[in-house]
Amino acid sequence: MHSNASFLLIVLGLANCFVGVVRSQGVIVVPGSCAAREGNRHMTVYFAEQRVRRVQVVIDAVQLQSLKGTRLTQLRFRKDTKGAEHGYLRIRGGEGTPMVVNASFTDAKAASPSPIFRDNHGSHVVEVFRGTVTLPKVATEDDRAVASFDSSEAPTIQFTQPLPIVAGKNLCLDFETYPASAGHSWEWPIDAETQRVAGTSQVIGQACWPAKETPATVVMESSLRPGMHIRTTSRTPPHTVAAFLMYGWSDRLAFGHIPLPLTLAAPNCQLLVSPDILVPTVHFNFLHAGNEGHTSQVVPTPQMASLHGASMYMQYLFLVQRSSPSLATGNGLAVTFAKQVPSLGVSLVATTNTTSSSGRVFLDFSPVMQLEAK
Amino acid sequence: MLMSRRKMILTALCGAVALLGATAARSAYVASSSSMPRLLSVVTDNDWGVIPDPPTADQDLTVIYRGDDEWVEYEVEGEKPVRVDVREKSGFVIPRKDFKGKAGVMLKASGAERGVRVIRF
Repeated sequence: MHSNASFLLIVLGLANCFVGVVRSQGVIVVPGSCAAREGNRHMTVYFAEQRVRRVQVVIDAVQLQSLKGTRLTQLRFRKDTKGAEHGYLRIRGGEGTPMVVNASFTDAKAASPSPIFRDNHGSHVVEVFRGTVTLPKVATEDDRAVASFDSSEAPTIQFTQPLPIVAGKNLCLDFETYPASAGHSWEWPIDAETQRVAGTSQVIGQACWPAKETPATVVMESSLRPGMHIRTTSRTPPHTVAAFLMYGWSDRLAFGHIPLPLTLAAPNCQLLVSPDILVPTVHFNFLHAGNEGHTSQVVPTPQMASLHGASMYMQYLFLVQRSSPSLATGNGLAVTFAKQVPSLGVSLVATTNTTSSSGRVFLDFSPVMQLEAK
Repeated sequence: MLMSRRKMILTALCGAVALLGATAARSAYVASSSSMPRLLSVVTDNDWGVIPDPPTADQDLTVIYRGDDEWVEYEVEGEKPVRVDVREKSGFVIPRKDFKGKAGVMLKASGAERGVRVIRF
């Protein structure tokens, strides 16, 4: 009798081990490079109080190869241990984010997703989750090199219907978050990874007011990738009433025939680049109009192969109102787009406006996720 | 050849701006016709969070950046701006001593309204 019970226990134990092995075969981490190490970025776009987001993640089929013949049943995000400790400070426990997740297998490429959300989906879109994702309360200080995907510390999305893997197709995961309302400010950062690729920029001349920091105008060089949004920021001179960003294709001739630099106003407010495109930008005063302020511009670029390594020029122009209106200019920038093409195998498209049909493309950028399939 | 390439770049940029305008204009249509649920309003939010909120000049200020820039800046009134790398850090602390006799601090990133927060003490 005793031996029968032992035998049964051994059989059950072996069966359990077997099931464990089978299940472990259906688990992958995306991007695969982050399976055993923490990603180099973090994201707070998914889980935060009163935040609305749409985030589409396009995953290359190569990342899903080991799941061939299975069905996706669950997705988990990972806590960020390295630098996001401030992010977890306000978690009291019980916070949650209402969310809808749609998914499809698609021909849209992870290396070149469309800014238009619909274009990244395949023909058969499945709603795999609708509900509230509850965020675990986690320690703010964490000495570990990398967090786990254990449900005690990993936000988990259990699919309401399994999603069969389509071999050779890329996966489009489409997250829409609705406003969480715990009644206090909080965010729950998740681990993320990016393959940083940057273009280059060179300063031309200088701003024509005594800016507290030089150069007054800068570009985020990692945004100089065809298909992404170019991001520039600039200090604005005191008493700015309007700001514009000029994009041009020459720093020698304006409009093809006017020699540059061209003095627009004294002292030394010079047009340094051809103002082929002039875009108004939002500007902010700092406390009062007599201080320098701030402006920025985020503008999309097309995904064209010919843009890799191409150059262009930028300069801010300001309308300043003191006793009489005048013009002021920032320093110019000569920028060159990165030559490298995306290589992470995951990119995302995101917007803060869920009524919009398009978003901003982030090439080689991914939340770190564990996908489970059976 | 070089000129035509540059023209092509700028034409493409113009096209991209026009494309965004067009897509924004049709967003209402998409919102009403798509099979996917949509919120019919936009929640205006800001990439900056602060602790305590509202901030006071007699306490350290913990600043949390929730956007996607690689670096951001803060500038206490009358002082030089300070650049902070936020690629791996979600936030930083400005000590209260920096606020002594100051009227405010400006938190700056790209992203127009979302990227800026002006704090007045």
